[in-house]
Amino acid sequence: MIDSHITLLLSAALFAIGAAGVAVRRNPLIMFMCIELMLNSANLALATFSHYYSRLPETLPGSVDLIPSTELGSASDGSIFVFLVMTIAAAEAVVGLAIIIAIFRTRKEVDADQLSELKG
Amino acid sequence: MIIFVAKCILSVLALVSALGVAFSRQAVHSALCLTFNLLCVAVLYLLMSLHFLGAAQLLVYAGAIMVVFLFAVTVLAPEDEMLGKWNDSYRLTGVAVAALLGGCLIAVNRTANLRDLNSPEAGSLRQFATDLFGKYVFPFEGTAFVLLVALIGVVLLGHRRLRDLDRGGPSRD
Repeated sequence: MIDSHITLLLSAALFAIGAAGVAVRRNPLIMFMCIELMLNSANLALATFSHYYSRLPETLPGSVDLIPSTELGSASDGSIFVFLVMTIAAAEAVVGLAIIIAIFRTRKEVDADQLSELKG
Repeated sequence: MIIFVAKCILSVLALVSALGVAFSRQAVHSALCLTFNLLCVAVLYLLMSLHFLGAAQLLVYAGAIMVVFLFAVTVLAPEDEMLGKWNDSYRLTGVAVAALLGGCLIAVNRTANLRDLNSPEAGSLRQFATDLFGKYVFPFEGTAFVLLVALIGVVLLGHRRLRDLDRGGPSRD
């Protein structure tokens, strides 16, 4: 049981560590790295589910017919989703870092607590 | 069996490096720990016979994104004395909420009914390419568009005229 669950448990732990980092740190760069960590852990969970559910059984144990597995998607659907998420994560990382650097060049400091201009 | 042992070792390494990302004093150490963590996850993908994902993880995350991160850390290096500061008021609350979240996730994930049904062609590159350029060709092209928009946006964000550089103020256009 633990053999197939270990990557799932790892992804949950990585997500929690990333969330703790985002909440605790004040440096926007490290907060951003923790966000990347959380995205990566979600990818890991998706890949694990895709690996283990990549082909559904034709019949349930009670010999109930399922829909044919071709209508449920093929074996590489999860990999494609993870690949698309990776691409979006790359775009997001680049835009976020550009925003952080622009803020740094304007204010000469990086501190997430000081960035409160938009507060009403 | 040996795959299970390798998964365990990689999981421990990934956990330790993730803790290094979140709680190390310097941003450079965080970036290097994040690189190591992404490498561990890439090897985990390979062990799950998701070969393309392992290669893409290496190229996209550990290659491209980490270069950008290290560049940003280098640009922000003069502020080194505040890079290790902590958000003291939220320290306990943040860790407690994250621990609660992780506990809930682990409790839910333990109940997942995973059956090892992977067919021999589950992670094969041929099937992956057929689906990516067949069924999912429009999302694939959509990511190309998103990357183009991100590229233009980053150039606009980073663009500055020379007189603004002299004055030290932000770019107005």
